[in-house]
Amino acid sequence: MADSGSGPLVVVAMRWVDTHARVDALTGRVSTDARGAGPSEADRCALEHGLRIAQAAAGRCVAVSLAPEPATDMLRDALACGAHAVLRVDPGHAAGAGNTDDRADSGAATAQALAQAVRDELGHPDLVLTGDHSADRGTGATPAFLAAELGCAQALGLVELSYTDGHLVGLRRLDRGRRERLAIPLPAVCSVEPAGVRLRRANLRATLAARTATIPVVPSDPAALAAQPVAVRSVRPYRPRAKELPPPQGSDPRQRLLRLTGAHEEREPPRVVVTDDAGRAADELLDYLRGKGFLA
Amino acid sequence: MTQRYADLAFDDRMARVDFRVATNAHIVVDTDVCRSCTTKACVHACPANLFVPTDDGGILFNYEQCFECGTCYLVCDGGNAISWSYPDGGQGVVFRHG
Ligand code: SF4
Ligand code: SF4
Repeated sequence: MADSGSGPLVVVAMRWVDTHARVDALTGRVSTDARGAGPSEADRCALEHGLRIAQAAAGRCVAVSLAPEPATDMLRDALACGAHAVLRVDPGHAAGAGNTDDRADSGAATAQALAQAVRDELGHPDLVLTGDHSADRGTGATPAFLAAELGCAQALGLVELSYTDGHLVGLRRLDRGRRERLAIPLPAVCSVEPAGVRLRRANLRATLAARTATIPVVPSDPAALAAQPVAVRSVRPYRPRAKELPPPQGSDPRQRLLRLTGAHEEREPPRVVVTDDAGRAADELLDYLRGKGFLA
Repeated sequence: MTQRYADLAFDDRMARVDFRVATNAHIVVDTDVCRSCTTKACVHACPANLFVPTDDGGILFNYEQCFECGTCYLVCDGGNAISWSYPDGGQGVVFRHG
């Protein structure tokens, strides 16, 4: 359990991904290799923020990951960098669950399993930090789902995050080069872009100590991961709704249709000019543009 | 009961439309009349864009994706340029609800 007397509990949720996944150009099949896997740059920034905030607030920083056994090395690295504790939530224990990869693709299921494990093992966190989105098929939805699960505030996609005098302040990028500065109330879930800070290097002593440290593993809540992932039923481009037009006045169907379609109003009848003479075709076009006021 | 489709995008609505093309054209356009037509109202009014003006002043018409709305028949300025009837039974436009 978290030591509630020692300041806020900062949880850094890290996703273990193969950052060098290979894609078969012919079939589109993605193959991954645990040897090249680890946290994304955004998750590393989140950990650095977590370490700094825990230090500034005299709290605890705990790195948590919903990941299979090979992710243990990532958590050892987090310990070596200064995390007070780590926790691996094993997705493989979910009863009756299918492919863990599919479930991990659902931000809702990931957030539910993480929140459950964190609450059970560490208590209610004061601050949860994550990367803005995972490096593999990430939509950035998990942090928002986490905030909903934990019932706290959310500030997502931050480029800066600082903790001074008990106040958490973030900076977020907006369109057109604008920035938004946020005063973030605790408890909160914050996701950070890979910007501003870099994860510190672990010293040799901590690295050696982390090699043999026991990494606590808890099974994920079967109910959470048994939750159906979001199913994509159809993919299509955005289409605006049909524009509603006021019904035309009058009772004569012909007049109503003419008004509705505008077939006689504000329009020239279509004209087709077919010619083999390129010069004439150019003159036609220029005359048309002149007539429309596009050319002097 | 009348079902309203106001909140359905036009393209989504169109995605539910099938056309069973009949061998006999249910709309026949007399392009000789069209040549003297100055408004070409059908070109503008047909929601399916089935009327295309040709360079000799006539009209090229294709009935294959006709909604059978009757707009062309009503707005036509050429008197009897358009002969209009419904397609044979089981043919024409089909709107799928499910
Ligand atoms: S009936 Fe409607 S859709 Fe068919 S040709 Fe006429 S205007 Fe176009
Ligand atoms: S409005 Fe009637 S007459 Fe004129 S071009 Fe169209 S079909 Fe022909």
